[in-house]
Amino acid sequence: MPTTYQLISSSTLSSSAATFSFTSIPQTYTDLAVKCMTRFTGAAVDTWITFNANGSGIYSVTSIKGTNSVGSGNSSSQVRFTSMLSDDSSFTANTFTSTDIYIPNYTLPQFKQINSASFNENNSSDAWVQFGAGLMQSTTAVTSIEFFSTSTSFAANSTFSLYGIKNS
Amino acid sequence: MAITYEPIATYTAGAGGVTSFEFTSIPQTYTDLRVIHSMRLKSGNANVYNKFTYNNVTTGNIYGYLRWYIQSSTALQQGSANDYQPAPSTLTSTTIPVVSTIDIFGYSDATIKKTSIYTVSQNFGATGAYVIHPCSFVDNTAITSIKIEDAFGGGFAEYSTATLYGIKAA
Repeated sequence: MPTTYQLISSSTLSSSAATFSFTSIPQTYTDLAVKCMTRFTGAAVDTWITFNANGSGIYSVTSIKGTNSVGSGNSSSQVRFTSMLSDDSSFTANTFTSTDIYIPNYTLPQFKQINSASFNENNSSDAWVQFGAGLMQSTTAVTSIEFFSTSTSFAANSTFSLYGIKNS
Repeated sequence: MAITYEPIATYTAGAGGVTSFEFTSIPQTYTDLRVIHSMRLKSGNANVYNKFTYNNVTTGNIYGYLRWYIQSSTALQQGSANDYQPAPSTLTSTTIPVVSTIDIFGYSDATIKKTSIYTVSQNFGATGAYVIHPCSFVDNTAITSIKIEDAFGGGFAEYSTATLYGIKAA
């Protein structure tokens, strides 16, 4: 029986970087899984993701978010996928946010669903968990994934790993 | 390092769609199972959900679940028991897929009742939902088959997929 869940690419930032991208993603898998550990060098801002470097208004997200005492949700349309957290400079030093992103059937000619789960790490009660259901209204196969933010950079030692999952 | 996370079987609906996906004769050689299900419905229904059953058991209210979810901008929770596992899809589309991931733990252990975690991610642009759904199958019997059906009978459209993976702990 074939193995699957194969590592396509993995990077650990040696210094801070404003963006990170997976490019030339092979079209030979069924699904994609991304696992990240991220932290920002600056204050709290959104972590943004685009696919195929497409920054037009084709994204929407419904997310649920909670901390030690507060739960909330929202649904919106945007020019990027936004249901991803990152630790910021106010968090305990050397802590990172863990994020799982799953993109099924990324090569099929249909709109793409994006499933995310993101967990702050902070040695305090001020940490969040966020789950997101995203949509990219494009039938184009996913060939690249870009990570960035409004105004800050990913800190050194942030890691990004991309896995390919075959169904046969 | 041992190989794990192996595909056991996969189905993709062709041009005419399918009425259900069913995995049978599931090997008992893994530790856990994972199902990845991406569906589009053949016909739209309001408040649609899928029926998810094990071993063709459809009686006895032995499928229990809790549900924490966001639908549009409202966070909700609920729980119940049923004759099948209602896969918690609350919206439907004939054009945009809904993605479900089901992790089933200790499926082959005939000394324990089965637990699973079911997540559903769906977004249709103007609205959407994310559902986290811990489930129980109150039966000690090893799971040898899994069936996914559209509860309203319309079936699943072209490009809908269901894949079963086996995960070994060692």
